Amino acid sequence: MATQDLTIKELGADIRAAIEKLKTRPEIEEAGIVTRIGDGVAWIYGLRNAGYNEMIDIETTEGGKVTAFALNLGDDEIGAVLLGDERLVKAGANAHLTGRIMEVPVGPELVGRVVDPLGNPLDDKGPVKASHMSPVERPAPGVLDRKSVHEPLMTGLMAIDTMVPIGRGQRELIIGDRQTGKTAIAVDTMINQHRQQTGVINIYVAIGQKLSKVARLVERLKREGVMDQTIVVATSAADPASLQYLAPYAATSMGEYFRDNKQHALVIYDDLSKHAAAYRQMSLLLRRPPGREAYPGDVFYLHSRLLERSAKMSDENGAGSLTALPIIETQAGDISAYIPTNVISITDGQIFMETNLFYQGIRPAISVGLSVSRVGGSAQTKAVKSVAGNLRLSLAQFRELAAFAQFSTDLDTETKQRIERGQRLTELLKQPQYSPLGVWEQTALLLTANEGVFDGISIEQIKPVQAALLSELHKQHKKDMEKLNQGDKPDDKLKETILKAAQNVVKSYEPKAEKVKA
Amino acid sequence: MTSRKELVAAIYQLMQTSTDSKHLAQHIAAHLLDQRGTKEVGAILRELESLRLNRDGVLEITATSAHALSAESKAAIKALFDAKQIIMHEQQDPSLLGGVKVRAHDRQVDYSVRTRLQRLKTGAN
Amino acid sequence: MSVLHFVQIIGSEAATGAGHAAAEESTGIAALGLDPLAILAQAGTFLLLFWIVKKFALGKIVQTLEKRHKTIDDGVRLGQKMEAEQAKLEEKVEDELRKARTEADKILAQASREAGEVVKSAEEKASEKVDQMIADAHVRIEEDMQRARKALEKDVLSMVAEATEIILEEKLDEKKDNNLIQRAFARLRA
Repeated sequence: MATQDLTIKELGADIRAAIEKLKTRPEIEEAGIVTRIGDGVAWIYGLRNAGYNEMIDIETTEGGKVTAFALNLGDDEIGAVLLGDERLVKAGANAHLTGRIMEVPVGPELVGRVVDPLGNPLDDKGPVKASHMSPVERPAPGVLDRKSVHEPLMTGLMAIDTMVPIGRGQRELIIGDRQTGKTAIAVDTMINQHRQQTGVINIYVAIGQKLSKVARLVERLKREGVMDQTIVVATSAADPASLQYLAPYAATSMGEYFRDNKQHALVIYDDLSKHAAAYRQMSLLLRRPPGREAYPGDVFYLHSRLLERSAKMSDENGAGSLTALPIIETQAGDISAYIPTNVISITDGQIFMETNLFYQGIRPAISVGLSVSRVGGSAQTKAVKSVAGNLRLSLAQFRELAAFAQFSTDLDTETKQRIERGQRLTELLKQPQYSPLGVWEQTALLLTANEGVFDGISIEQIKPVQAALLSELHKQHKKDMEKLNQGDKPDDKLKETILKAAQNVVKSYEPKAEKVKA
Repeated sequence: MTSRKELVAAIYQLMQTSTDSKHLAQHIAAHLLDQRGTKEVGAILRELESLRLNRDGVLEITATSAHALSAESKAAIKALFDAKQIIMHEQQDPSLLGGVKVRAHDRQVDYSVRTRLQRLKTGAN
Repeated sequence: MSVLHFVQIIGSEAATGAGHAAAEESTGIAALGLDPLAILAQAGTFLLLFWIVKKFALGKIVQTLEKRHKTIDDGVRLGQKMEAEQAKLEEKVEDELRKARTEADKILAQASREAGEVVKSAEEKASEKVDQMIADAHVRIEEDMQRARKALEKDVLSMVAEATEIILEEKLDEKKDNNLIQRAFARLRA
């Protein structure tokens, strides 16, 4: 008999079984009473055996139930945060323990879907049929279960991959004021995983974002073909604070499935400032004592336990990884505020986005001086590492001299040369959105710039020359570039090939010398 | 300002000695009004129940049924609980259709027909 | 007095003398009508002129002639060289054109090959995609069936419950209800 054939006999058997189930003998069960309800928090009397984070079912007058989870375990009452509609819950309602802690569906069935933190679908593709459930809160892997970060995670953004390289299993914070391109970096990183066929699964968590922004982002990911390897966990600003609080933990559980199954995942938390604000709201409503800036005393633990779950696993544990790119929004560039300093001290480096760089047209607006990657060269491909060595230093020298040059017209040759080189490097590092560069492209461009091939052309021509050079290399030396894209350090012959091609391209862009009259 | 625990202990003491429950209730109401603690009545009563159970082994239970309970039914219900003295309060609620719902302090037994049919409808366990 | 003027004076005096001599000797050379003195004077003039020209002008004239000769020679040689260069260049251009044509043919062939490969790979991917879509559709149909089944079960159970409610309201009296309670609680104690 085909499984799709629905027989009355089968249906009848199921119905009889359901009725039979009800013939079980009555049980004494622990029950609590909702004493008061408001602002998404239910205060429950009784349930003395409730555990922290345990799920509680509260009966509604229609006979249904609303789920909550216990966060405040007091002497005489429990503060439980509601996950459903609080209008269905009345004071005096019965509450029962479920014996389970908060769980979400995890597994490859979630890839390509847009879901809420409870695993309910938000796209129109039907319910998520995940084979596994995983607790939202899980302990981070121990020291011996990990390996040090050594594999690169290429973002495709030259400014990052050369100077602030990110590795698989690292936590790299993206921090900056509003509208400075933080999410753009995250999106480009996701697109690059698809373009370079890395096999890394992306998980984007929208915490309290505008749904229109999430919709635009999903649309863009679909257009770039990235959605096929992405999970989007979305909560809007209209969602209860409890869902916004759970969102990053739920997403991390989804990422941990891949980490623990020999795969690699990238999780982007956009953004943790809103997450901290949602937690503050919940804590204040639970009457927990407020601390600095009205945040509860465990706001550091809120983020540290989240980010510690991103790790590179040892070979014995499958060598999978979970890389985290948390995003924090600062106010007026103040990175010494409470939440930013907390998260900076937790992560393995930060990428600082500056507003004034953005408005100067330097996009991505990464402040090279304040950005750092504590993993550094171990997470860089050899090819890029071989050409990126002096970049930071050159740019640092240029920055020092650029300010000086504004006030002085008499500069010596060396200073002028440094300024010229710095201007060209800055122009080279600019990159349009949704255009990540591969390993060979970055290596070729930087090698050419380091050898001074671009010194002879004007700054406005850097971008056209870049495009022409990459096109030339792709057409004429495709096999060599494919080999370079594997990541190994280029040998002298390959370097020569690249430089020769660059010189040929640059010739047609050089300013023409005046003809000498005979 | 007396704490709830102190108040409950005081009420318990008074319950031991007082013979006029209405008079006692008026006193307690006046005190609560004076202290602006009228919202605490429910919590006070629950704590009082707990105190009585712990100290005297007296358990108050509320049995809600669709029809009046016979003596045998009451005995069967009381036999479920382990206490020196069980005081049963009966309520009737025809909407339960049948069976009984017993609530005792922080425990309950819900064997009402309505709840079981509700579970059948919603598919809940 | 210029040299020429001096020469003219000498010549005229020689001619006068020659005339005198001629008048005196109309025999011998004079019979031929030639004046030996005049001839001598003319010869002397010629030699003087020759010497002057040789000393002052001949060198320069010869130099100029040689220069012109050289220039003409150079020009001819250059012309020949240019012709040779032109021929070489034309040959080179021809060569380059030949190479370019060959290269273009190669690129076209490769592009056509790659296009063919891309089309083939696209076809394969499309076919895989179609298979995947069919498999997904099967799964979705199965899921839909399960959901429909669950919904139907739920509806039926709901109707059963409502029917039971109605029946019990009529049929379940106090005695039966108490029996029910006693039986259930006896099982609980057991």
